[in-house]
Amino acid sequence: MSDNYSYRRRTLKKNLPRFFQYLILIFAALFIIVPIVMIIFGALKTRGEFITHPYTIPIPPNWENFAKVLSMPIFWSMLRNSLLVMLAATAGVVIISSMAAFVFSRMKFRGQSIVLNFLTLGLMFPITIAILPVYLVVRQIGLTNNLLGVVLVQMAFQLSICIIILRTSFESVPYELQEAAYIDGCSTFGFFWRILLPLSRPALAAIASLTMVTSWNDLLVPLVLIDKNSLWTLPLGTMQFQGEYGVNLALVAAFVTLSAVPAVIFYLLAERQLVSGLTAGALKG
Amino acid sequence: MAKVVLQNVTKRFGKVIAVNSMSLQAEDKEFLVLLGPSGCGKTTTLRMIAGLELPDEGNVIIGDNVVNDVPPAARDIAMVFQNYALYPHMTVRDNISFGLKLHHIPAKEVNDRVADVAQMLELQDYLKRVPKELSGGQRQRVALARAIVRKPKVFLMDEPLSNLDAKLRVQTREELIKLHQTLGVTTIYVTHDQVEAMTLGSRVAVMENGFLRQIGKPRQVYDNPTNKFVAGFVGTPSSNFVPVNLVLAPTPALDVEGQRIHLSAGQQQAAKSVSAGSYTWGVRPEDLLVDGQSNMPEVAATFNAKISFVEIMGSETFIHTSLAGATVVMRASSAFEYGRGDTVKLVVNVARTHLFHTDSGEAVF
Repeated sequence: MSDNYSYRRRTLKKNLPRFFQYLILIFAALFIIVPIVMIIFGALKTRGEFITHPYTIPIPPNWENFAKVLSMPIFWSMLRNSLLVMLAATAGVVIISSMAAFVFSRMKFRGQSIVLNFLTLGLMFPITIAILPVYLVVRQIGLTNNLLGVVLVQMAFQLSICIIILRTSFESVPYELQEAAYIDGCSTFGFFWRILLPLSRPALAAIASLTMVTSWNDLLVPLVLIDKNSLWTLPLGTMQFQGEYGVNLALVAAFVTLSAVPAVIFYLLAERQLVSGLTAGALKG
Repeated sequence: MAKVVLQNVTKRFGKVIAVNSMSLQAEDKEFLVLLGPSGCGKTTTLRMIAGLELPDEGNVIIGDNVVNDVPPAARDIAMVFQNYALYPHMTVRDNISFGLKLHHIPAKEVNDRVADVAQMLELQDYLKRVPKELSGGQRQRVALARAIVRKPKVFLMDEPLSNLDAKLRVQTREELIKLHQTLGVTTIYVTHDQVEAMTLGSRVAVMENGFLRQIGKPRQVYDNPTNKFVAGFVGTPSSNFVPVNLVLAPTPALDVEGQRIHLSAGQQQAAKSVSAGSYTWGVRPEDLLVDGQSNMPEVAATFNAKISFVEIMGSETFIHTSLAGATVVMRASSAFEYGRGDTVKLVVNVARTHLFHTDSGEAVF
């Protein structure tokens, strides 16, 4: 009996903290999920329903809002712009940061640590602080109202963190592999391309998805650099759309829902890459 | 096939001289072992031959060409690393064929050569696996296969057996000997394990602190060490060193705590070329005998010694005792019947002992 009693006490002792953990996690999850669900539900209601019954489940669903958003040419042009910017920024960041990280992790040169520290300093300046000088520089180059300007600025602010992440990953690849590759007949670039990059797939996937998400959600840079509405990206467009159709919140909800769909798809793809890269256990030899 | 020559090669890392004006020649088809304790410069030497380090002075010659400025890939060498350095993301087949593909060898020939090597090393069943799915011994064989498949002029091996367990090490050692006999490729092999060095090497080069101390056939290095370091490093248990005085008149002899020890004719001849004084006497554990337990050697010296410790190894017994104040180890058969505290009559087989200068360590005989 006493054994049973103490056993129960012990499980209670063990489970009580877990109960609170779950409580907190559930609360946090609800905090994120409820607004998302509300927006999706709102998008499936008519304007009137949205105002009278904002918190009910839309039965039957009303698909008109989605149809209306999808029929707007401006939505498609924004989607295209966002995609272009995101892909270009991601490609640029992956290429440049992997090469820079290679140099920092594998080559010794005078002033290496100074350059690296300088680069790390970049982490300390959020883009909001630098936006005015950035605007002035971009205007001087003549890249305002040009998606390339947005891409370059997004890349610049993403490079620090990506180089640091990749450098750590590159450094974990043993030197013997590099020497074995040289003896096998690899050039330095050959080692980088055939050995180092494949072995760093998890880290590459991480920086790629980080850049994708940051670029896709970026409002500030396009807001400052773009005012032609044919060049608007989705976050910028959402803001303008809300101003224009603020009376029809159901339509705005549909717009927001649709603009988030590509981001979710990219995330799922990147996550699979990330996980498959990690489970390959590539670095143990 | 090619010989490998080092001419006065020096390598410094900052103020540390890793390899000090080293000259050495590995003949064509020879199996040369670089032996020494860690930090003696043997791996640096190997890496200079591979082209992974550049010598600060001197020349590295492979075949008939000075290769100082030739990159590793163009030296026609293959290297086996201590931790194998297999490419983790490639299958065994890709690991083996990687170098061939980089040298633009036609696909059919690549396949044939991989198949041959895989058969030679019994890797056929593992070609589709990745390195982490292999055991240590299998990885070792893949590393060897990767080296062999290139058909290089020279094999360089950096302690390739040190990550294997004892049993597998012995087995792989035999395989290496067979492989070398079959392929006949000049091999330079680095190890700190003197058993490996003695069993594998056609010749052994013993290094210490960046200097080449002695190079010769295993037997020669063991029987006739040219200095005290080599005598102490090669052999288990290590050679015993006893402080002695050399007296030259009337005939050269040793003086151990007042006891005069006669030398063999050859030893006397050699001792005449140096001055009298204090020297270090090197006696191998197997050259110490217990009186009455075996035949008396021709030139013998007898001491009374008290046994301080007995190590039973199974096939033999090591007896720790003391001689002229120095602790000495003696090798005896497993039937050795004395124990700790017993006093025995110790016989030294003088003809097989060596005398070293106490300061420089150079051998007198």
